[in-house]
Amino acid sequence: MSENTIHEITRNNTNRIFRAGSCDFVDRLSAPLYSWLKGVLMVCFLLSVSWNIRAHEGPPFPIIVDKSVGPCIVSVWTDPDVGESTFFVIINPQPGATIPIDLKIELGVQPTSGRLAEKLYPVQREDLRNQVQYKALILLDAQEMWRVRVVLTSTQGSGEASATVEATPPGYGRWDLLIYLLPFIAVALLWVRAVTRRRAIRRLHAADG
Amino acid sequence: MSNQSSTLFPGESDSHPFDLLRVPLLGRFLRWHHARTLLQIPLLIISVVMIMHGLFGPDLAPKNLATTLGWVHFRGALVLVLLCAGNFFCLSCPFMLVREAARRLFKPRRNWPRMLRNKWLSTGLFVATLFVYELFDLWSSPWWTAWLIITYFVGALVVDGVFKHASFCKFVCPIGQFNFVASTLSPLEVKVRDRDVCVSCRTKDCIRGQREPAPGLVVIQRGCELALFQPRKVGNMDCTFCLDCVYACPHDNVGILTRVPAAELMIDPMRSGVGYFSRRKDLAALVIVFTFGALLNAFGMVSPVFVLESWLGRVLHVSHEAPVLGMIFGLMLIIEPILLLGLAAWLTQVWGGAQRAVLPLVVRYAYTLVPLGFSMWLAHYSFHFLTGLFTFIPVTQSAVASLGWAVLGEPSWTLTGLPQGAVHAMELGFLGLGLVGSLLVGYRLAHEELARHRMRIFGVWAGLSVVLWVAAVWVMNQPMEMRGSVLGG
Repeated sequence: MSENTIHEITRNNTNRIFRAGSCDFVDRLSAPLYSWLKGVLMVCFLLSVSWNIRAHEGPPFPIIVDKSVGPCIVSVWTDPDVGESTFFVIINPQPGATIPIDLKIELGVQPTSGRLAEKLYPVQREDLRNQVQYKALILLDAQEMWRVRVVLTSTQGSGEASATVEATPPGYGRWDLLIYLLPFIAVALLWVRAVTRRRAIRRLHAADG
Repeated sequence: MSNQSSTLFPGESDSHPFDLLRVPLLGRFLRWHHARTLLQIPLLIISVVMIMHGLFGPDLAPKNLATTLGWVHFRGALVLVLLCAGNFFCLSCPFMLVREAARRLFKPRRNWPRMLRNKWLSTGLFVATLFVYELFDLWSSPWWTAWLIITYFVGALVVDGVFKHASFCKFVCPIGQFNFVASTLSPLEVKVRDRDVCVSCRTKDCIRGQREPAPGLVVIQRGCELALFQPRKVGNMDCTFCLDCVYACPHDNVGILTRVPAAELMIDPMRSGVGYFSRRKDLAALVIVFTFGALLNAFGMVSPVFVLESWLGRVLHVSHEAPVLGMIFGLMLIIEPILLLGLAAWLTQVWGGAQRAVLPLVVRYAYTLVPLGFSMWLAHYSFHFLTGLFTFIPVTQSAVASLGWAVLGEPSWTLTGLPQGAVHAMELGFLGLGLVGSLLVGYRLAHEELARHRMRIFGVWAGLSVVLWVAAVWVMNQPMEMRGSVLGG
């Protein structure tokens, strides 16, 4: 039997196997595998749509870069979503100096329109290895321009810096997660099909001798 | 040719519809003998720029090209190219360009020591690289990052300057080992187009190379330096995509063909230059480090690790990070795999009725974890890459401006990357795909096992995959340091 003939038979047999809705292949060979995969996909789906999406704090961008404020050099990075926004204050000492032990930092935000009074928020120091970084979660209630003011106070000196930033609309939440996951689910199904199809071809080839 | 030497079954390679080397322009470019050099030159230039900026540029990592390009862009692009295509970064490796230049001046005389012809050394170096990365916070140190790149160049130069063939790639390079394991999931493979042509081939130039007929027998085109004989090569393990076999084949019978990702993990034929997967303890160890190292590397940048380090330091009364980090590495790269894989193998034997001993079972089934491990690397590195996709622009602007050339304008520091929601969904998507891949491999391996209860065996290894997947999802849902951006430690 020529190689081409073998291929033709293999192709026909495989097509026949996969055309059958209640075919032996699914019933006999891969039913347990499909059950497993269906279960796994269901778990993935449930996890995807039921978890509160609060993964990574990013990507933030800087609104103040290396500005000398009082005894320190300050950078402020933000991820200014409407709703709960994340602000990072990175503190470095002035050249040849150290960061004051009694340093206190506050962040103030106010719409540039003056619609609301300025509100001051405390910041929390983050537990990082070799960088002094503070974080604040701040409520920005509307998509508009906001004035951000960072205030440093210490016995070695005090100061402040300010910048403006536009609050950006939040994502679509769990629905965009599902939409973004759809291509992966499609790839997974294709992958499963390719592997099982390959296996069927091998078995047929083995059966042909 | 024997069936054992086939990829899967005879004639299969003939049926591939897609061959990258047949694509107009791109295929012609890749078949050009100087294609590799042309791909290596830009990466060499970028490497030199990274070294110079790392040594003499700003100390702050997010403003330095060494750390930004190295830890954000290179790693992300690497895993995405491996996922979507194949081991093309090894093809473009700048270390090999320097090596090639050096080999024009002096020829290596020695063979790589027989006792080191395995993956133990490179696995150790892989672990060492991960350890040094955490200990010295390489992502935040341009200076150390620059020295790491220099070390790679020197290492490749020294090893391949002394030893013949591609000893550095095959037995030393940690990045190479990472690529080899990850590329088992790639959709492309360098392989023969028509097996019948190989059967009738008498010269075997793909492995031996082409020599001038003159008495000097000068090599005019080398064969595979990694000892992969194309007709008996199975999969991407140990293949650097250098395309020497493509250039050497006098019958134009080697292509870059599509295949089913991970299919090579599901079979255990004799592989040229590799042997049997099921007999390679060193390769299984590399795969285990690859998988658990992915979890460890991601765990190393979330908040709980700082809590764990602090707690261990207090309990052990240790103030230095090295011993504490060493304990965490030992726990996650030695103790945890021994317990989890040992338990799974024991259950396979006792509950599943497998007739092999525990260690051979661990060695064989370790490969079920490769898709999951790769998905963890993908999720982790793509997070940094995609959320910091455009950060190289302001950093480059800043670097150029620091030289006194304002040609690129003021640094646009507001350029960052893709939205968090999209990137997080992709992370979960990658992890989900990894789990599906591990389940597929586990199912196939279990089905091939000589045992009474194959579905039980599958259940055991599927359970292990699910446990690791849950751990990975948990890690990826922790607030993660923004390495490569200003934020982070």
